[in-house]
Amino acid sequence: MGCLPKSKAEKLYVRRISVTMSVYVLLVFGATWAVRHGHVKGWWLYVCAVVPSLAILRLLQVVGLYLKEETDEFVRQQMVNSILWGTAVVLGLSAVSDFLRGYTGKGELPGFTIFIVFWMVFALAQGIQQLRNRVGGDD
Amino acid sequence: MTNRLKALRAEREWSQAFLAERLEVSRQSVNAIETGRYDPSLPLAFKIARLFGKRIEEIFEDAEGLGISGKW
Repeated sequence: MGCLPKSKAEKLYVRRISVTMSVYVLLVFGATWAVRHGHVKGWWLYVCAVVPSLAILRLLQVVGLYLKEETDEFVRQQMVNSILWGTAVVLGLSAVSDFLRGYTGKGELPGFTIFIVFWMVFALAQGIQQLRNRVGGDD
Repeated sequence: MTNRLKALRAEREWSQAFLAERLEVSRQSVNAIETGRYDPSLPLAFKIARLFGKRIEEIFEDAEGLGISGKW
């Protein structure tokens, strides 16, 4: 997913991600505003807490759809590699954190750490692979 | 696995971009296959072979197979 011409699947992926993230931002701000200003009470609080995560679930679906629709197997493999890197790092991180908490009572990760770290590692892995597989002038 | 993709492409004076377009993959993929950093799947290997009018084994060679001594 570099500066080269985008495949149909990649264009769809970018569009879906953009829409999903826009909806996510709106949902997070909306839910936060509603809760902070005391507009929601009782079980509606639970609804407000869950609603932003629906966009996150959609985000995961968008990644899955891309892997299904991308016909360029090399590009698809690069994305799978990045997902594996992200998964490996967050699983390692959560295991260390859990053992730390279990034995010392400390080391609890702040909320959303796993999610943020996953996407950061994913982006880093994508960048590294793009760099490694960059193509120069055509001959 | 080694391959003769670059040589075959050069014989026909095709650019990587042209080959990528014909194979419906990215130029990055063609480059990775040519430089041996990526081994294509069987369907893609067949597609490449069809495009060049050759058999798969005329384009791709099992590098490990070159060292087979006949011993099991």
